Amino acid sequence: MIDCRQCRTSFRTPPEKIGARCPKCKAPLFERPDKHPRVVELTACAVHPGVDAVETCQRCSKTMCAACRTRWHGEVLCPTCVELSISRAEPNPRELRKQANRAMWSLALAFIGWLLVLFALMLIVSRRQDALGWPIAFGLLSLVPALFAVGHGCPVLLSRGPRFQVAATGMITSGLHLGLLSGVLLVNLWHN
Amino acid sequence: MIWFACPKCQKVHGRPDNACGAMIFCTCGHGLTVPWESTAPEPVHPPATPAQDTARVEPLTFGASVPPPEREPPPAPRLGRRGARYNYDPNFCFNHDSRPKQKICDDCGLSFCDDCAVVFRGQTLCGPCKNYEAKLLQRPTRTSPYSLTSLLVALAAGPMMFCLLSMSASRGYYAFTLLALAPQVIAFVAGLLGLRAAHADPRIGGQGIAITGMATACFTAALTVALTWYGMRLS
Repeated sequence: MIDCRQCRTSFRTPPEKIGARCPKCKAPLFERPDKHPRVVELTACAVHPGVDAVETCQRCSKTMCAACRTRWHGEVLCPTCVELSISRAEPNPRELRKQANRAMWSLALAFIGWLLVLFALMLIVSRRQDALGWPIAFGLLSLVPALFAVGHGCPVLLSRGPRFQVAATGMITSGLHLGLLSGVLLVNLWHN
Repeated sequence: MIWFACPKCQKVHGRPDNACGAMIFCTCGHGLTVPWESTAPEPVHPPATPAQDTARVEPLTFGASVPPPEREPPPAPRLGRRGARYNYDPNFCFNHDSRPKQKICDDCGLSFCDDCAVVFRGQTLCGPCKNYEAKLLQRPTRTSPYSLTSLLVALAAGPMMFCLLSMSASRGYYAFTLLALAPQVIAFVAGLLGLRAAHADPRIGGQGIAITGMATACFTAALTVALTWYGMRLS
């Protein structure tokens, strides 16, 4: 639900379809009021000479008025620098953080899978013949984190994202795990 | 007043005492912080012009019926509080009532002067519409429904395969277990479609989920075939 601060009308349209302004009173819907406005003094906007500047671009240091000021990937830039960033296809810092988290999860899930396999092996080694069902159950359960580790690590490897080495380690670890389990299963089925 | 000089061009600026700590910009572009006390001498002001003789004021006369001077009616309120539609003239700037229209925003269609319009990605936009476009470009990726379907179907196919296996074992017809391959094939195809959608549109994500679903489907399919073959060998 989007509410217009000016005319107090509510809209059920999703933000990506409603537009920048209220359909009723044309007031901007998503502009946040400046809680601590910077002092506007002396200098003019580089694009609009008749308007006072409120900010300088964090990349090219050009002065900007409120209309030119644009928030892009956590920085305050001028429209020219934003277009340059788009043309260079610069990744969003939020996406880079997600890729880094995926790489860490890939490694963590691979280790969890191995822990479950080691626990199942411990149960077998303890020679409790009546508890054979539990090692099989833990062995099958260990496949779930291993497969998720593969799924988390693959996009990081494909896009060469941050923590590439961590994702590769997670993929190799979970790949060994899956290969080991598949091998043990096939050997058991073949001999029996 | 607090007087201070720009370290770059030495121009002296003056601000009221309550502006200390604020950030301002000199005409040379250098950013300055207003200090707590004056750090430069107050510039010498030109002598003030002598005050002109004020016009002689006539005393008030009571009792005479003097009609009040004509005044222009107050301007209509720009925006109403509760659903009142804004009455703006499309021939003038939306933000500046007195400036004639010079540009039209390609997004909202309102009229603006040159100072209120910005060129962004080949379009002439007003400030809010330009910020809205930039915000849309920075939206987080959404997961493809194909990817989610792939993962859910693949995870459900595993227990389904074991159920079919036990049913086949009770009936002695192990080929029945191969029915479990159907959802696994669906999961694999859905994962492929999810990866294709993510590759085609950068705003669509979910590659990790699609790959997990495809890997699970492949592994479960291999397990299904192996257990079916094993069961048929036993029988």
